[in-house]
Amino acid sequence: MAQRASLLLRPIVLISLSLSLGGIWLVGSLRRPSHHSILQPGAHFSPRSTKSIRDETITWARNWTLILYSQPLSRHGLKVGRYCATLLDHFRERLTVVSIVPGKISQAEIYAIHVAATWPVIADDGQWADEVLGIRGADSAFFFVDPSGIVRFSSDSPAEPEDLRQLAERFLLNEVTYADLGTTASVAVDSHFPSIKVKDLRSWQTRQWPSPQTKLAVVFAARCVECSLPIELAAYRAYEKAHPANDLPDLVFSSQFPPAVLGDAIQGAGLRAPLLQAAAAIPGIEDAWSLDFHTPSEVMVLSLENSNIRRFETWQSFFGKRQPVVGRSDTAVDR
Amino acid sequence: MTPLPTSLFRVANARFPEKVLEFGGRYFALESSNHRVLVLNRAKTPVGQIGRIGDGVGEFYYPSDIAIDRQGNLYVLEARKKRVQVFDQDAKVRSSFYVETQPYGIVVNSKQEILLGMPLGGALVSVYARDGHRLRSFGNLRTMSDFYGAPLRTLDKGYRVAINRVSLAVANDDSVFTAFVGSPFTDKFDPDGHRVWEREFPAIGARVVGAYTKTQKSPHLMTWPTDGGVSIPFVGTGIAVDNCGRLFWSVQWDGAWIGEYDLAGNFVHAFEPSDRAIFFRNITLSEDGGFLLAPGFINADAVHNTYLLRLPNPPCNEKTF
Repeated sequence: MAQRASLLLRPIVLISLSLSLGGIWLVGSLRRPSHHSILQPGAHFSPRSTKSIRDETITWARNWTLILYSQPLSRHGLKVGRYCATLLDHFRERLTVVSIVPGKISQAEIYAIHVAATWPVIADDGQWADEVLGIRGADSAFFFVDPSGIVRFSSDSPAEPEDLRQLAERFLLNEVTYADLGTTASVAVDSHFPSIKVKDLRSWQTRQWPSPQTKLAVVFAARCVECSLPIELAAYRAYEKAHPANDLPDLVFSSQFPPAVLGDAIQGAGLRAPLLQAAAAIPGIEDAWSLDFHTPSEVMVLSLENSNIRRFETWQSFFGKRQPVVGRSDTAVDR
Repeated sequence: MTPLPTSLFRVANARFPEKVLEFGGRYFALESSNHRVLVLNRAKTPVGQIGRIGDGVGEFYYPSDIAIDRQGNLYVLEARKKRVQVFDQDAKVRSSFYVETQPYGIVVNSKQEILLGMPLGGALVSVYARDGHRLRSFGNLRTMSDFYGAPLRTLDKGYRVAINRVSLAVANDDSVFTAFVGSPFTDKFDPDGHRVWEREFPAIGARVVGAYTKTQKSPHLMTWPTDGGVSIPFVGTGIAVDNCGRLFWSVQWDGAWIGEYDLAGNFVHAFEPSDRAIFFRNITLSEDGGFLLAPGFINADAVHNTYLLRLPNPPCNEKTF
């Protein structure tokens, strides 16, 4: 009996693996290193019903579900959180997203505002994430769960938007596309900047932009929102002070800035320039689904003539000074 | 310092190729961030790929290093997942296993034994059979004070693991070369794992010491969360051995250089790319031995290319030593 019990307790046997792969020369233990604590692929995700910060009851409907666990105001967490809107926009009803934020409801609410969450956000006191997901002390984690409740992928290292996109494609479409990654915007000198819908943040009127008279625009793309916007607007304000009112650029903000965040930043900056918010992704800079949320800079400057691009450059180049580094760079290399 | 003519090895639709190997008329480009190995023909056109993002056998999540054995089997290391997978020339998985701690580099010797840099395992290098059985380990772990003496003794404990991260190369006779990532030192071990010699790349040591004592800024840093989160200057960027008994060892600081040594550890030449703005890592040799393949980037340009560095000596015919 003891021998039989010990046989049952052995690591996963590889007969099933060799059958599925049609023959393997040599196989090794597929037992994962034992110190992994988060819920692993193959495990069953069995949450109890829980409520979001908006008092929605989350019943974990039978759908592909992306569960994101991140600190409320981590730069990386916010970047990834904001990308979820893009994912949901692309996959719509086929994908469910749930964010879990450790800490109090007030912190989760801040997170929800900053990522413009239209999906459930759960404030976790540490117990739920530990019991259900095995998260203990990690700063971030994410899980892809299939409609039957089986974890298909998990990681306790920070996800990149590109990883989430590839995983979503892999699971929902069974085909991964690979972005032709360039780090320059796809605007080009002498190309025509297409007419886009914008909202004037002073008059609240919607109109098309640019006009033939638009000469200069400063585009604030949404790679990193509140961690940089006030500082960059403060730097722009210094430029504005040195220029007359009739020589100021249009300031065009990404559609992804949440209204509350954008409003606070603009109010604090005390600007004179036209303030516009795009209604959709800014063409050439933000509009590729597989752009991986990478833009060459948070801020781009466009010189226009009759809506044709005569010049475009980064913020640093145009204003001639280095932008201050905000926060700590996420450049830890984990190989 | 002899300049090496450089040309670009540009791979369409590739994203930050981390390492490029050449075998049997094909190139294998490791794209860690795209979770795959791209297979290219002689014209450097992608003709297929191995793996895609995922957790299953045959899938990858941030594959970190690759190696090829003499039969053309491809070995893929995923440091984050602590997993090694072996693919045959038809891209079928032949082996898959997990290791105990986070590895850094991978090479394969003539017996198809898999060598991993694994300081968390208690030695510089651990050797595995293809079934995942650990066969042996060798190479005493070093300390900061071993390399730099008493002034850095206070860092011995904190950098205990990080300072022992190494890139690996294997010669035809299965002797092993370890190039330390955080210091300009390389060791040679015989096939039984005994240290034969150690060499220091000239003219960089003082700057590296300065980085560790915070009197100098290191141009490039590497951090592994598993190693206590300490950052080390990224100095030793790669090592490769050709069939002629030439050892190529690349280092960087405010520039990138390659030292050529013979297998006895005698310094032969020092090279730098003709475009001195290039920084590169994970050098490998072309099949004919005439080029180094070196993924890298130019200064702060985030676009990563692979550079072909033409070696000044003619390629040799394969022979054993």
